[in-house]
Amino acid sequence: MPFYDALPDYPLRHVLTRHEQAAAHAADGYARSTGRVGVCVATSGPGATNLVTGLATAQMDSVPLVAITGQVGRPALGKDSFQETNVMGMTLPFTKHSFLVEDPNELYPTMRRAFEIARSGRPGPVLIDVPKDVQFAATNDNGYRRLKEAPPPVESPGLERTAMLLRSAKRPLILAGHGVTLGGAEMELRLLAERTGIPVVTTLLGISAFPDDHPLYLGWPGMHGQASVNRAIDRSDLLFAVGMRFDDRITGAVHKFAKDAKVVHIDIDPSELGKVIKPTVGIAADAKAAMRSILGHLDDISEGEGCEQWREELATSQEPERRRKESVRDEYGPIQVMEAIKGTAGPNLRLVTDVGQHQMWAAQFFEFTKANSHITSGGLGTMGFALPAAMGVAFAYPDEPVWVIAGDGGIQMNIQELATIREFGLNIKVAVLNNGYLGMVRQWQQFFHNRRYSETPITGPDYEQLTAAYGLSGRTISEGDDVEEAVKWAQEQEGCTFLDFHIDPEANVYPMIPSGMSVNEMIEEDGA
Amino acid sequence: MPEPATGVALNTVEVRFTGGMLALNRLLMTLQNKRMPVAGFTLGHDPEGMRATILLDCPTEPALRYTAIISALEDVTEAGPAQTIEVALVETSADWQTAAGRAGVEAHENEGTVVVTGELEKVDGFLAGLGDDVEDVVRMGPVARPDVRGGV
Repeated sequence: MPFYDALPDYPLRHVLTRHEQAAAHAADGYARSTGRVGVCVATSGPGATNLVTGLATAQMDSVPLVAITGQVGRPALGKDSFQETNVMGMTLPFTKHSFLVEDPNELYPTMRRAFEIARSGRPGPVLIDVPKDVQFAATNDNGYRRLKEAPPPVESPGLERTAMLLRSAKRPLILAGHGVTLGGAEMELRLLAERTGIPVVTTLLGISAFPDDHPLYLGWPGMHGQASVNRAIDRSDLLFAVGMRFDDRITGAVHKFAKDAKVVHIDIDPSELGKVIKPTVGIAADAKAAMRSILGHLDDISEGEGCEQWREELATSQEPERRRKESVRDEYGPIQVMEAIKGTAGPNLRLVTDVGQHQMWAAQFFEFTKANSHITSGGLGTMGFALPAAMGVAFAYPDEPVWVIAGDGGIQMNIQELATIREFGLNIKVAVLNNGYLGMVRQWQQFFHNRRYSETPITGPDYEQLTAAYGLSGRTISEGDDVEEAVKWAQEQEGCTFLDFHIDPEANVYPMIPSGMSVNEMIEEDGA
Repeated sequence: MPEPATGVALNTVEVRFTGGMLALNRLLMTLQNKRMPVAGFTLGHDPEGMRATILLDCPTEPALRYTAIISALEDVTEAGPAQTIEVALVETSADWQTAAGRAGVEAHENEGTVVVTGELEKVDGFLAGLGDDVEDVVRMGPVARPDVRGGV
């Protein structure tokens, strides 16, 4: 109450979401798309506990957030007071840091420190819990104390060795992750790739750190990554991994992953080096600074030189996938929807995806040419993320097309935010790939549990009527309808529109490397 | 996946931190959250703040990685390797002073019991030096030697 009483006196834009989880995801979407710190606020007790999923989502993907929670007054702490909850305790595992402000004079410096902690080094969420009486108190201290010094500039003997490895490798790959985007190192990545002629693959969160239409871009690997990219990693003799953490969805069986490759691993978090893959060279550094330094050791390489035979081999290996994609482009289904959105929204599109099959289809079939234009929940895999996260993106970029792609499971998890979207007139277009299932789980049940579809069939509302109830417009599209026309209609409408695409209930995402297995066990064809 | 307990490779990390119970809670949560193989944990405090001495049952390389995780905590002012030692209580009628000097362990007698302190392999060496003259021995197992700057 004290916070909201004071709010109108300050030049802050406040967005009242309909659920605190959505507030955290919206702040997350804003932070991911801008590189700035996102802020969310919740009241004590259930308001604070509702933030938990959003904070965990941000922590897993290293997103800078500051979450401010109200707390009962200091005299009431520890007495099971009304709406008292130990939010600091419950969020310890997935906040970068947290504060309980017990001294009003510490409030201002704590705020400053929280923002610095959230965005410095490896970014992450910071929680500030403020008791009610502290909010009421007058303060006289606006001093600021820095807790940790900024990391020193990169000086590592590994830099020179890395340059040597890059020169001598015959089948090298650059594997770029979210750290490239977080560090604003897209240009350095491109320079390094072009200077050495080394092909680039990205993680799921690294998508759009390197332009998809660049001749050196191959795609992304992992459980549902392109088969050719997985095979390229398997064949590589050098992996230059930057700003990524060898997530289990990338590696599968670790002992079989890139087994013939030397590994250079660059990450700003030293504890990531050797966590999963033991690197040949490990460099704890900011991606931008490290790649700049390495470029300095590669001055005498001619642009585009090196590994030509390797690039030709990779291009040949990608040809069947390209042909397959072409052949299904005109069939009604997820790929056609992606193509229509891509063609209609144009190169300025910012795409926010939820979690599940549609997330993988979008990552596979969109072409991202603009830096940081693909927003998704990677590490935590939070269903319900996309719609509220898109609100943060739309506030940050009100003049650019923002599309949400979600499944009919995830969209229902934060559907209430259509009210917020309507209230603020956000220009968000929503495409739901509606298969009547929790599709990715159903796919696993199909492949690994003999088609026992236990608790995966789901029903949902009539989205046309639902969006109408929220004062928005929507359409239902089924096989035989004109997908492109529907997408164009949605794009041309003012404000939020909602497209409900009814797709094949048993459409699957291919390829698939079953959990814990290797590229050799990859499932590529239908009928499994 | 947690590092497998080796039972033989012990590394000690000395952590200094401020922030009281909340910071201690965060440290403990981090140990649990990252599944660190904690074999021993002692806590102390001095005018500069709190001090935890953590014995990790894993080889040096993962121990260094765990130390990096602990170092990154905002409350932590200092974290680094510390010494792992063993204390053994020995009854012997032999010349234990000479054996202690040869093995490089600290030793003193207390009411007929020789108290031996030193690195694990040196304690092994001390006992081997006494050979059959060891009448009784109690080995306390590996423990961390806390920083001498403050009392526990």
